[in-house]
Amino acid sequence: MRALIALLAATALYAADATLEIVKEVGTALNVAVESRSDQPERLDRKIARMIEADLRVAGFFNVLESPAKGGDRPPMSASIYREAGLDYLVRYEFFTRDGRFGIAAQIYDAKEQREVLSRSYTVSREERYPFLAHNLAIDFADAIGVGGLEWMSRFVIFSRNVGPKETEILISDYSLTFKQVVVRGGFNIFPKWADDRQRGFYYTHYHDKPTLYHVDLYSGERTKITASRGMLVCSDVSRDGKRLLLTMAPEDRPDIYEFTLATGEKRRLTTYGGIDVNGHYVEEDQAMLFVSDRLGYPEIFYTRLDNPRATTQFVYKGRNNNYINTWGNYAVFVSRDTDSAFEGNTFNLYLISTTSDFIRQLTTTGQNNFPRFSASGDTILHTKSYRRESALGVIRLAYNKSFLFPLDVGTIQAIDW
Amino acid sequence: MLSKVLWGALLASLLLLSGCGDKSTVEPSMDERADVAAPEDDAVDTEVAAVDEDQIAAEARAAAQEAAKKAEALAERMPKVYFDFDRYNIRADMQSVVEEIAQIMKEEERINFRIEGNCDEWGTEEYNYALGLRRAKSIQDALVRLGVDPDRLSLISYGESNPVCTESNRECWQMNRRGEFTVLP
Repeated sequence: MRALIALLAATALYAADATLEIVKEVGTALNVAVESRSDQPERLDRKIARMIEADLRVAGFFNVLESPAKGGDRPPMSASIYREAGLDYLVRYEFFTRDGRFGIAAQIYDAKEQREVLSRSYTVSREERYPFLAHNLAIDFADAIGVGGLEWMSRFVIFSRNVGPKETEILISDYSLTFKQVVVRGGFNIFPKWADDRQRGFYYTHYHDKPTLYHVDLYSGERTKITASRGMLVCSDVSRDGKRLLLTMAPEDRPDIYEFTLATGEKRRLTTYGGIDVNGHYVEEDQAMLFVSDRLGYPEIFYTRLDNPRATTQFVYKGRNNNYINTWGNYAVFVSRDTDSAFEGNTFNLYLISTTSDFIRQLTTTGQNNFPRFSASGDTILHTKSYRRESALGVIRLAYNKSFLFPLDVGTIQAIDW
Repeated sequence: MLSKVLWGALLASLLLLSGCGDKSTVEPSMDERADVAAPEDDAVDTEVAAVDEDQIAAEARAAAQEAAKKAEALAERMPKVYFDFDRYNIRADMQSVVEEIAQIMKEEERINFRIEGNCDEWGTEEYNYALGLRRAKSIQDALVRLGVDPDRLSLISYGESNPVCTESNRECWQMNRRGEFTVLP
């Protein structure tokens, strides 16, 4: 059994900066232990336990301890042994199968206040979906104790991975990439992008005669052609109302950014530079855009108002190679190549910046960090990391100043969205 | 079935969870609905249905194979144009290569070509697709200056998704920073 849910590391990030509102004060972590009711838990039961523990660690405000009760019958949750071990909460669950479904019946007990705070059952229809049992329990746990803010754990990740030259497949997964399911197979299908906040559909580019953008409705299964372009075509961002897209395409054989209005099919060209303009992302309530351009002779991030795209200004003044950006509200996380060598591995780090502040906060310090994506709530960033021939999925909890790494065994990721 | 996206699979996986305890919200399980609506086994691919070779006339198939052979042989004659790290200008040592390509294209004046831009693994995907396209565009501009009809040339970028070498070393990265050619039907 793969130890996919085992956390590789949990490292403190650089010191929080108070000028970034996204960082908030964190109180003392809450001590919690996880117990299965079973004396001899089965394979899936053990995987569930590890996933629950992983989720609680990644939440950022729990300190996961071993249960002080060893083997045999479990003592009552009110037993003094738990209090004396310093636990704030005890999670006890029972794994079951019923009518072909897999589930857990979970109880969460406040060891200090001596009261039950949650009792709930969860089921999934197939075994491999077990991570969502843990994710939803963690969400409810956080809500039940008044902390909340873990809804991002139940969102789907969509990503494409290379399976050969000019051949990819698109998958959906849970945030830890433990549960995975192929949704587009065959051919060259790249740059999947969720079409709306509710994740009811997604866009992706299919290479046929020429790059073509499709929308897929997950509920009806309907696939709709949106537009096509010579050279390249990427859906970089979707407006908050889901009605407009920022596309990089090349109808004149050079990559520029266009805003595409879905209702009318109108394409409005936002950049006209003859080199590379790419990776447009909405900011400031979709009234402005950050994007990557090589107009200085190297990849750098620029800002422009959508009502006056001629007035473009440099946005990042750090280093000389910033080549990928993702945004949430007025915040942006970007990838910066911190070394510059054609002959050896380079270091790519992530940085956090705001359109309302000049401060830049470094989020990673080693390896090749790529594909940063904000959670819907903006307080968490998912990314990939390669370091010393190991690949990992990184989760950065901005609000709690912590980062976590999960082993990554999905092959080479081409693009990812969350 | 034209749409080969795995809807059933996706629907079945979309709402994986329904609370079923006393205190859970009681709602129809989307999971179950999805399973009924579109069984996962119905999963299909995105590609248009595979060609049934038996339905193609033998003569047409032979002709197509012959044309494909010729196209492949011609494509193999075309040297590759290599680029510097993170650059899309034609290097001085690649000028003679471009001239050789232009000469072949002039000799094969009835054939159209697609210039494919490729990148090494460094950099981010979206930027690399743009970089690959600019490399293809630089080759096209150079060929047009040497007298090749631009209408015979189309461009596409594969970013870092079409490596000829997958090892992680400088020789491999250099081999992947390239422009190459496909003969169009």
